[in-house]
Amino acid sequence: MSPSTIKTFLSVHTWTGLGAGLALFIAFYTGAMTVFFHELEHWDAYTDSVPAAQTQAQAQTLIDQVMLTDPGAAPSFRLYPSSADHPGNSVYWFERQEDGNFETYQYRMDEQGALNTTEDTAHLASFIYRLHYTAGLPSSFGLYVLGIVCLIYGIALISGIIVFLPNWLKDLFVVREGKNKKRFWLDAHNVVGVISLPWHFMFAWSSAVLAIGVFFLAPFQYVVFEDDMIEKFGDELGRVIVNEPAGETASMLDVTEIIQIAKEQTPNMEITQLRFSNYHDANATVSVYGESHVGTLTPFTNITMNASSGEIINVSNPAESSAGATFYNGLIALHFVSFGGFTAKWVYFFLGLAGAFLFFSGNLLWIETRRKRRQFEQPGTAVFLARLTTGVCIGCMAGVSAAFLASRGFAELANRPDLTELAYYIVFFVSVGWAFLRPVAAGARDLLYACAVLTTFVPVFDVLFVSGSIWQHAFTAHLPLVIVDILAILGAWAFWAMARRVEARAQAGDPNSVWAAPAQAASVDMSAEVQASR
Amino acid sequence: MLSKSLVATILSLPATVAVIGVFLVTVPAPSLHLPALLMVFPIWVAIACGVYQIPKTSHAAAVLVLIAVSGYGIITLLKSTGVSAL
Repeated sequence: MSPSTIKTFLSVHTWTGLGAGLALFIAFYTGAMTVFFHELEHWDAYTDSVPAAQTQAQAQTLIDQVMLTDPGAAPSFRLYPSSADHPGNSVYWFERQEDGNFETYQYRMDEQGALNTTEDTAHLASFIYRLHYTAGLPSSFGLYVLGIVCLIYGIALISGIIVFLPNWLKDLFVVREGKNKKRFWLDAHNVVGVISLPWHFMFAWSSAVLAIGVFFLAPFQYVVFEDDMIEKFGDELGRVIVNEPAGETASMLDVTEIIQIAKEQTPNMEITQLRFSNYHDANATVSVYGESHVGTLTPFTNITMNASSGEIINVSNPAESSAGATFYNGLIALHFVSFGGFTAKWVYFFLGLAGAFLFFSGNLLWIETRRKRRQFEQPGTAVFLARLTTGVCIGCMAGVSAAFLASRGFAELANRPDLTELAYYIVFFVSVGWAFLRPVAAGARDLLYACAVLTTFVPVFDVLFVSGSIWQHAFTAHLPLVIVDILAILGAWAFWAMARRVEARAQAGDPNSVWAAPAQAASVDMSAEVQASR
Repeated sequence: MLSKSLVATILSLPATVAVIGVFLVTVPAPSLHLPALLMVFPIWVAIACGVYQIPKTSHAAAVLVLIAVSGYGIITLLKSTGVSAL
């Protein structure tokens, strides 16, 4: 490969990396946590007591009560049956508002059998998930921005491989730690990038499909296909099948019967959701969603039937899916780690953190490459990027810890979801501001210490606010509580250690760097002047 | 670099649609339609990266326009003559 080609792609890699790196850091750090979405929901739900499991008969009673109380739900609603992860049945329906947003209505049944319409305030997992796909930007806009970031990310990956190829045998898995910090960050960046390359490519691809897939497909509607593409590919893409209402009232199958019919179609299915349409109409449909772990990559199963007669309308299971459905669902399953159980989840968790490091180290590498080695004053662009990188990246991590604390600390308040989000955004923006107000090294050190302190308080809040009866069985029945706290302690220790390293680097490292303390540079200048005067 | 990057990322989309579109109208395998559509991302990225190998930005733009126009021409021709595999 010619040097000019390498130079061109190095430039492409640098600018695409810088353009997408910070958003991708947030996406990967929060994505690593989103791998354990259900466990996080579980952790967030611990307060004074654990909800009791409910039966399928109670699910039917819940639906009947919802229909009496809120007939607006009949055209379309979802039942989430009680499961080990989510004890208690719940019904949701969504009403489209004039501004295009959706109002969510949710119903549960309390232990006395009364309808509970209070909103579930355990919001942390869904908020962290939203950060993952929007980087904290407003929802739809953030999703599209992240979609475009995925395209840039794809180009950064390919250009990175091209740059790395000529030396790959020599540099593969080598980290040279020494005085040459640029070499160190480059090696670290390469090792992490190469180890996780296929995974990163899958993520760029599946994320782009999820975020802006509709924009990929739209041109084909005008150029290639004459049929409606939604009609053509809807079933393969998992569209919910809804029959036109007949306009005649009919009795509905109860939940137990529906689940029994679904299990006859796919006996090993774990049911997660039932979607009803046009309830009490003769043409009412119910789609039973679940997972069938039959040794395929994608576990998603869906059986649609008439909710009155039980007639099967469609069965979609991984063993009999079309090539297109297998391809699409395979990408989705790879993205959401819907395979491999907890082993795969832990691998994804650590690869997610490694991915966040990859983007952070890329920015550090750019700063180190532009370092003026003979003067304390560093280029303004390097100082700006150092401030932005530390503010955004450490601010995101500190903000997430603050959101954990807020969600636990305000668990009894009705506006807990708002306070959880507010805690994140306040800490995030204060961190970015702090990074720009303080000298670079001092700012990074302060933020890392703040991050360590906030993260340390996660287990402290758990001890203070989670009922002792839950703690008594924590190691047998409530592992998410224990694991979150252990990870928080390890995380706090890591943040503290990094803060100490940043401090040591500022005091004793090369003074001609953005990471040096101004006092150290001043003392170097003074000693140089003294020597010169002698 | 900026102009070439804009050419690489923006003009590569119609070129990608043209390449996949030609595949769709020439290969009589409906089961491969959705997989082909899902290949938009890797093909787009590959074409965008390939553009950087063309030294002049104007030449790169011309190549992408040529691919797109040729592709759309083939698609229209096959569809209008009724020999499309769709």
